[in-house]
Amino acid sequence: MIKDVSLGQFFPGNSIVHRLDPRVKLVLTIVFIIALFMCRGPVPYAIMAAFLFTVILLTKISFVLIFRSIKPILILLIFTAVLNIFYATGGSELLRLGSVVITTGGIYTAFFMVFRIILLVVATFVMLTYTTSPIMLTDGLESLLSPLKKVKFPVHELSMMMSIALRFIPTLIEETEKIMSAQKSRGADFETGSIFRRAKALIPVLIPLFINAFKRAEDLALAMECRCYHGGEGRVRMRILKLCPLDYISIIVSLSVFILAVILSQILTFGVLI
Amino acid sequence: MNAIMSIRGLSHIYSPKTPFECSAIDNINLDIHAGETLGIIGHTGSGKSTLISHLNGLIKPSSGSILYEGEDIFKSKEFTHNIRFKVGLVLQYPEYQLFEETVYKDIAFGPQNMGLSGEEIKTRVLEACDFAGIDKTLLPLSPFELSGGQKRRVAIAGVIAMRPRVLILDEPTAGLDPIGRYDLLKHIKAYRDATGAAIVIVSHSMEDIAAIADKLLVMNNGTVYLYGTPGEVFSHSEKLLAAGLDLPQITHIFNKLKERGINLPSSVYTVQQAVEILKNLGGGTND
Repeated sequence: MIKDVSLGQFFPGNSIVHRLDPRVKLVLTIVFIIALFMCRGPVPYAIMAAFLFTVILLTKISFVLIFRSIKPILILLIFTAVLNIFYATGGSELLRLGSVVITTGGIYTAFFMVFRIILLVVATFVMLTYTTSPIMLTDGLESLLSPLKKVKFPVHELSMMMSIALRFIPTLIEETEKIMSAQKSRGADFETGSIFRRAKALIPVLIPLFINAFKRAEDLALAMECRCYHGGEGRVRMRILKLCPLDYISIIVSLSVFILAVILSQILTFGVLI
Repeated sequence: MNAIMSIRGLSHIYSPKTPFECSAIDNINLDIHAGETLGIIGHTGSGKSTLISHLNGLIKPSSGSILYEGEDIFKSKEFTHNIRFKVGLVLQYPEYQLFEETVYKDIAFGPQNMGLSGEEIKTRVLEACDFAGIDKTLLPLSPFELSGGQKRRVAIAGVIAMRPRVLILDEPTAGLDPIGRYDLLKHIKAYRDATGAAIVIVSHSMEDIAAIADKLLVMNNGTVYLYGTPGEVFSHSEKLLAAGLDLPQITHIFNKLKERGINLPSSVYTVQQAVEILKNLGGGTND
């Protein structure tokens, strides 16, 4: 039930994308998103889509799962499409219903907006969360943010909090399911009735969940102290992130694709490079 | 004798069509009779918990059916919901499900969901307290003030208060001290004898199982590995050990004695049986 949500889930594997340095993946994802917003016209979008398609093939994650990940944002996509069809202008008029006008420009904009959101979401999933374990992700983030330590920003504490939070998401989900099963066994009903009734039905789940979470936090703090944890000062790492040839090749290939797409959209829309 | 519950060709696959796909149980056939205590044993991950979660409709089978008095428990949403009052399931470590302000209110949660009147709820809560061995002075207290063993009893009482015809308990004695274990099993037995309900009990403790079960189901890799009376099952010592399971201590001792050439029956699994046999063997007295 809750386990089936594939949004932001990690799929273990040993593909090229899985083995990339998390910092490289983080930075490339951000650059991909920036490049996506600089793209204009069908050709650059096709290049970006082809790039993403290749990455998906490399990860060996099935397309069914990728499509499933779009499902949660379906409402957002429909909303974007409808809004753009009715409000974006330009091009020739297709249909007029009273004051509502549908133009080719509107449909064109709607299509590209939706396409852009899909690319954005799928890219973040495929290049980051699906192929990078939460631990690697926080390690990468800590490493990328480490220059901020100079301005007394608590980088280590932040990443430790993030890894603990990420670590306990599956545990909490599992526990929620267990408690829900237990209460369902006593006849609790979470599926029928008004919203108010359903919200009330969650009380028997939330109370034990919170109590157990606080208990667990206390236990964890104690266990960490028992192993002499006292913050980031002087702490050494078990996994040391180091860039290897594969990382450099990926950076070069990806950046060339992104730059090509951006330059092409400049040339195709304005006719010149500016 | 007609079975109160029948399981036919039950299979369950978790997360189908994803990299996490995993077959938990495969083609299980089983009958549960009223008044009978069925013990389920098996290695961790052998599918015991998956099997019992099907029995009150918490999870739907991938294939196969579960019949309660001849009717498919999934025939309608309404029916599945009502099945949970007839097939009471106590999950592992049930003390984590307690949530109410008082012990009384927590035990009353099940009967309340059944839509019973206040008077009837009161009767059932008090009755459940007796069956689970809860002192009535605890009723106005918060469940979070109780000890671990008391919390466990309150959680079990919460299910018993629905007067289930089939009571399923997943590792009810895990983490209890020996006296607590013995006492809890005694109360479960008393519930069965008083109401004629069927009991299904999952346990890792061979001693507990040997003490209470009339029938034993041994699971291995999601299938029925052995099924029969405890005497029959525990006589297959090698098969049990091969599946990574243990035997009751007394069966171990008797097997060792047999290895030394003493002629003993191979189906001894409780201390009482052992005492009887040894008394007859030596012809001596028990003083």
